[in-house]
Amino acid sequence: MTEQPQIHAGAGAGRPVSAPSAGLGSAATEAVPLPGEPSGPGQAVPPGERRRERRRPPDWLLRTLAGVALLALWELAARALGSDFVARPTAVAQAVPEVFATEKFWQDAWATIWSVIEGVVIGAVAGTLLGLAMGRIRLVRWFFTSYVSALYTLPMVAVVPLMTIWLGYTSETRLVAVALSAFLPIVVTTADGSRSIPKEYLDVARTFRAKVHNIWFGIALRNAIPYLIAGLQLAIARALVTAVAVEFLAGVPGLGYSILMQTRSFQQNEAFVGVVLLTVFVVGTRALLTLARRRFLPWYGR
Amino acid sequence: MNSTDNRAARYAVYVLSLVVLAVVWQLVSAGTGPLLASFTATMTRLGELVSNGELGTALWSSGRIFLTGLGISMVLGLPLGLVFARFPLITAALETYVYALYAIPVITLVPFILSGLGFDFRAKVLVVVLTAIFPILISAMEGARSVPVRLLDVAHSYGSTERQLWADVVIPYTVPYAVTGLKQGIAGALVGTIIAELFLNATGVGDLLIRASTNFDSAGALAVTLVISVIAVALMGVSGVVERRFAGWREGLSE
Repeated sequence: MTEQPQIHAGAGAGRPVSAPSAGLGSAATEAVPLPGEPSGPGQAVPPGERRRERRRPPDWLLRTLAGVALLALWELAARALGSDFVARPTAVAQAVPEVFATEKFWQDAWATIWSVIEGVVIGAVAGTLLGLAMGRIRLVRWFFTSYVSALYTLPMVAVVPLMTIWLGYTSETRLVAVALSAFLPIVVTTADGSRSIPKEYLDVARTFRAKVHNIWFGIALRNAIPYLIAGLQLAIARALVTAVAVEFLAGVPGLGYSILMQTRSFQQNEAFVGVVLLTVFVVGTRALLTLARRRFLPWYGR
Repeated sequence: MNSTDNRAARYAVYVLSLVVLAVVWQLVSAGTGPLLASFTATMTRLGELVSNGELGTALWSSGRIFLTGLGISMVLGLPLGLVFARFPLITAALETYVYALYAIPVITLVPFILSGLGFDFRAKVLVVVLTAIFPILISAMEGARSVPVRLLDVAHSYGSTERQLWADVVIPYTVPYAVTGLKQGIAGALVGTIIAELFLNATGVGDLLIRASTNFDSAGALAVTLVISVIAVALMGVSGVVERRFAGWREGLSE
């Protein structure tokens, strides 16, 4: 990681420099730095010099060694337990080609991932609209704040049983639950972003007699984009958890359900391939969004 | 602009929004039959659950899991985070894996925990620890790592021992980050508790929710969900207050 001084747009002095995290007052729950993205106010420790003084081995070597050590530890622990109920790294690696060759694995994976994508898109569109309205219109904000922060704070998994009553044990339940889980972080972040517009922008807009839709979509939405990206990253992670929860609870076919079934029939290693795939999906989409932000909005810092 | 008027108006709208919810809920439920219990039916059911002690027992059972898991996460996560931050070798070696573990959706590990450990108290606490420990650990690490070099230099200049350095510089500097991490840890532990109570064998609030759902008792499910929501909001509210108290001076804090 290169630690360079973060540069940001001069106009927005005093605004958060690093990627904005989900906010809305006390409801901010998950503002933890994203993987591979150490954040925090101005990394003040310049690691370069201190490192050179101590002449330590390069980071990649340490990392690789630690990785090997961790896998070995896991392998040995699993062997010591000597149980078929525990996945082992070597066995998981062996299972990969076999699992990848089965059509069902990809069908299940696609079912789960597609429901997450679909749900996040629905949630994002609806969430952006409500978020913008909450950010720009005080009455709307006051009216919805308590619901949005209550639902945002409530673990969506707790709503799944209720949803199965209303929508049955179907993949529609999964889609609705996923969309709702994605909707809330997006509302919260978009509302934050469209609220924190630098005053000068609004003054200029007023001077040029900008129409309401110019302010909403030209200024507020643009200002909210980095927030929206942070919201999307949170939304995808939450949506996936909800999707798997619905699959567990309602037996809807998907990767979560097949993980559950495989662990019940001594196929721990095969099942773990599914866990890896879902983790890669979350990390991958998150990295893509961060990349997009850096590419298209470089002034928002790393 | 008159700020007292403003505040009065805001609270008026808050109250109005709650009334609107209750009324809309009542009206909609009248049209949908038993699938959506009305507001009044939900409140009646909530009263029943409270008075027959079911809710209290369930909350106690889930609360124990939540608190034990959160406690373990703090006891392990905070010192580990500090150690990571102060020993660059350890950080360089393990940081990637900490973030990688944090990225795993814990819910997908539940079937493995179920088949490997069973569904007793320990297994459930493990689920909570897995959801709560990483934000705590990572925040402590980030906090301790961002101690400005000049503070450390000054302490060194005045001949601080390592112990004094920790007590007077590193730990005080880390507190605001740790508090924020703790808040995120509480949010994680909430999710973990619900997951553990629903998907390892259903006990506590999970049991109430599952039973309500299989019996099509929408009043019961709504009542329990409402209670969980109130608890979650209260916990986040309290930790928000604590955060502002201890971390008010930190940069980049949301509101």
